Amino acid sequence: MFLYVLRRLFHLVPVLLFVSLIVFLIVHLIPGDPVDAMLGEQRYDREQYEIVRRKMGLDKPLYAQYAGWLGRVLQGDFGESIRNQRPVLDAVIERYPATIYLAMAALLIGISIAIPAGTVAAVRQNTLWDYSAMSFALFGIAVPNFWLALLLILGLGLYLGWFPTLGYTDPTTNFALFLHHLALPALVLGTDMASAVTRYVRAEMLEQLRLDYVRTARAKGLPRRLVIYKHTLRNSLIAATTVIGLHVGRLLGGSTVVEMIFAWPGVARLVLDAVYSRDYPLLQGAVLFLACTYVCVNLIVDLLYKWLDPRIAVQ
Amino acid sequence: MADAPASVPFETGGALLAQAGAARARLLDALAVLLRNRLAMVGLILVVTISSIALLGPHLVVSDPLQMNLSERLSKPSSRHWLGTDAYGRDILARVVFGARIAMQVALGAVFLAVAVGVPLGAVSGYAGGALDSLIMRMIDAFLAFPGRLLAIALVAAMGPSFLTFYVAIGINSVPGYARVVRGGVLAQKAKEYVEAAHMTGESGTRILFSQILPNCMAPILVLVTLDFAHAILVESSLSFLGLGFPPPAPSWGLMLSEARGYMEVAPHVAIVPGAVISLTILGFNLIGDGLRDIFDPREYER
Repeated sequence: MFLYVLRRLFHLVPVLLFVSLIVFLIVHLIPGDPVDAMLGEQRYDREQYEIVRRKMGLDKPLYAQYAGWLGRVLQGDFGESIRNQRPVLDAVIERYPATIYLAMAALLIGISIAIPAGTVAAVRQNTLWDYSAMSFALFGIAVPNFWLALLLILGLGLYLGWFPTLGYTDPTTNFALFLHHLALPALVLGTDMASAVTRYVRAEMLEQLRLDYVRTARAKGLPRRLVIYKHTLRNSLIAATTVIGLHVGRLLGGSTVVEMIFAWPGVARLVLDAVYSRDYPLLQGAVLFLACTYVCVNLIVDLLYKWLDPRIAVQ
Repeated sequence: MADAPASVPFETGGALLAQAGAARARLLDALAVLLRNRLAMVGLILVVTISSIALLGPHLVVSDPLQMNLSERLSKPSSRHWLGTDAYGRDILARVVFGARIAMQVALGAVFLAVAVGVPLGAVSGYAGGALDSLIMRMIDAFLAFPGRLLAIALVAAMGPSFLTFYVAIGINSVPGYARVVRGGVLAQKAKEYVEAAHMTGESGTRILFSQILPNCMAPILVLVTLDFAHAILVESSLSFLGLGFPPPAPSWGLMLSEARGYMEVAPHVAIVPGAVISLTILGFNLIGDGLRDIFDPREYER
């Protein structure tokens, strides 16, 4: 296992290099002069132009730019925002807690819907239970997050007035209000995750229920309920960790749509703000940070899976 | 892989086990099974409807999707405006119809690009093997590691909204899926007798790969294509919702929803109609994809 972890960490290096290269090149895709694009409509003179140009290192050849940029990133310098001259990393770290809270809440909601729903659907295959769970899953897959968010705002927020339709409160200042604000965005992301995971848990359960060990357990007289909940469900959940992990990775990257609709001050919102204000260094830094987080979370999930199920062959 | 489905739930399953040359017959069989699958039929009807609307709609709808009429702002559905009007008094039906064209065109372009890049990559990787295979697969893995939605946003932000940008930003994300599935398929087919036989008749490797092996890897590609259509439409509408798509007054579905946000309370239909259309389109493609996946090996192609 130790060797396996080492090997996976070693494999991470080219992946992260590749990710950094893509992020680096994004700025060079801007048609025309990126400095012009960034300074935008504000009036600027030659001197300002040169300052920005030099600051971004655009006066050097491409490979030197990349090497210099990568070197700084490795030292924890993700660049500076063009708009307010703040270090990008500070801005990202400041925004990250809000995204993590939202991700955890969505994960909690997603799992607590998906596991019971998927299990019941499999155990009572082709009954009303199954059909309801599968309809829910299809609904969740077909309905985009932004529409679900609008519908929930309309129904639970505006008509019934149960939840605030946007905003954020820090959990340390007022926890109850924090939860109140958290409810709708977490419900949207939780439903989205639940729909995919429900289908997976169901499929996995159905697969497990057909296996020999279930028949053996039943044959030696174990009650069906015990076999299902103690053996089959456990094995299915191990398989479901990968899918759940994938969603955790995605959730930790922040959902731009949800954070925008609910004015949630997370990292995805930061990325979007960077896009809107053409703050390319901020965009670059934030995207790099999020992409690296995503890669690392996925690795952790893989390792976790391997630890839970040692049968997975070491590639 | 595609030749021996672990559990073919239908009686025609035996026919699916066909070897080379029977690829077309197999697809026809699959179609027959699909037609008997009620949910997939619903999906097919939805997709055919939306596609026809995208194709013919602009010729059938009389109203101009961009024509503003401030005296008819936010009017409810009526005989004059079947789906009502938006905040600028524009006919929602006309906008939805023209929006279908944008959505389908973006999806078509993105999926085409993903297939055009991903399939040859995977095919060559699987057929050539060795160092080339490892190189391509390493690249694909690195690509998979990148969060797709973020990449799309960054690309659109850098390149600006255009059809080409959308094709690239959305399609690039699906390339790894095709490459991996096709590589797996080619690896499985490569060991088959018919390939050996083709080699002995003196056919070139490229020819064998593209005219003999690839047609036998079509099944999973087809599943991916349908699911990717749904995905592309979702991403396009998300991007336009975020204001990163075509600028107003383009009748893009996502943009329509985004514009409706301020008026939801007084005129919910403005937000409900475009959202419902997006959902039904995504549902349609997903139902077909699910149906196809049930026919072919259901476990092999999970993403």
